[in-house]
Amino acid sequence: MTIIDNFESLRLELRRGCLIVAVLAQLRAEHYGYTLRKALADRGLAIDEGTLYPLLRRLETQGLLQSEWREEAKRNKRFYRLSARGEIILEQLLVEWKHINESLTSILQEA
Amino acid sequence: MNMELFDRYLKCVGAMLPPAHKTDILEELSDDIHSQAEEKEAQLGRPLQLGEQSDILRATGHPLRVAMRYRNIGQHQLISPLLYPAYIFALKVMLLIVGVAHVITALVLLAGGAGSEQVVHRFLELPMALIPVFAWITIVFAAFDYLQTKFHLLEIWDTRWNPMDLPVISADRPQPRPLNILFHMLNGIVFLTYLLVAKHVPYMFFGPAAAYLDPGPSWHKIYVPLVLYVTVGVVLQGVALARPMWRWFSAGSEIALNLVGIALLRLAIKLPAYFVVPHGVETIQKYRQMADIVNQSIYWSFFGISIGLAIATAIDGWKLFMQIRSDNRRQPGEPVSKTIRSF
Repeated sequence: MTIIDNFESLRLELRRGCLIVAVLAQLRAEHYGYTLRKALADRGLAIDEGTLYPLLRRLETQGLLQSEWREEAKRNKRFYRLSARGEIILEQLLVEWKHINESLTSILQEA
Repeated sequence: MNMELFDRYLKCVGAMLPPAHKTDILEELSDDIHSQAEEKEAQLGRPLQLGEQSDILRATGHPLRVAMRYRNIGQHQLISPLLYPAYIFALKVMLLIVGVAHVITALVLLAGGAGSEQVVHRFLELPMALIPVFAWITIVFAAFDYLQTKFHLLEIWDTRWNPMDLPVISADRPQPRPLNILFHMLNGIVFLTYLLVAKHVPYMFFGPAAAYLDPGPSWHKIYVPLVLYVTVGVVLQGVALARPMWRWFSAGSEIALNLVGIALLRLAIKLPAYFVVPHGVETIQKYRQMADIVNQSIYWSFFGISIGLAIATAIDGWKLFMQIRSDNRRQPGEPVSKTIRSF
């Protein structure tokens, strides 16, 4: 494995968990796929549709999101939002994320 | 905006999606692609040109790669979702072959005067014979999967593909599904491997009965053409997979291959015994009977396969003829698909 491959694999791993938190947090307000992607990209977290839509499906299957089809601008769109269960999980994940962030900051300062 | 290119793309993705969620996924993906196009049009103040539509699709990703992500999300496994259907098919076919081979050898033992105990014992050995087959097929597929990951074959595919090459949609005749082609190609590779290995390990043909059977001159005569035939089949499937825009290639090459297969089988049917009794035991009546049963079984199998191939060739030829005729009647630019639901 080259350094680039190595980095890429670790970067994806690091990003995967963060993306879930970002998607859940962004879906505290209702979005359909495209606007969600735009909203995340505008905040510097670009995500391609091939990653986002399967992720949304997985989170919905886990009961963290709920969705409904509605017509908007003459096209059917699937709107997603955080479910009650998703809100609880998001709160827990944010606590965990803050804890990890603080620990990591502390470790990096020591180093 | 003419959206035919988007329809072609969605059709390709749809062909590889799990059927239960296909419409749902396609509708969502379609909305995303169209939203991107509309935004771009609003920026430019004009409809998108074909090249700009193509750029959106290229950024979205190769249809196979996009579809793969929906098939089995985020799991790490020995055989990836891409190869899994082909893997299961290969397992079923090879396990069936081994099962049938066991039945034949049991019959051979029975004909050779073996007692019922030996025949029952032969059947009891079946699970032990199936395990190595299962293991080898899994190893071959896992190795192939590892190599495609290691050498980024999909990524290379993803960067080199051109949306303009996507097959044109035809509402009344489905295109061959890429997964089906991949599936046939991998089965060809497994069969080719089996042929090449079994030549040096006769046990793979007849199990323990291999000690009493040797390949005869007829077998040597058909072996090389058979290996070449399977190799050409694998290559043609590979070309069909890499060049989906060659619309008639897959059907045409399959018909041509079937015709060559029939000719080969005709040659094989005319030959004398494929397997003979080894030197030293040729005088023993029961081994000669055993060889006769095996040769008769192979003869009738070849006969049955050639009839099956002839029927398949006639049906495929007729379908191809009707498709070409229907295509010639269609006006250029005539819309062929209106909504993604028709996929």
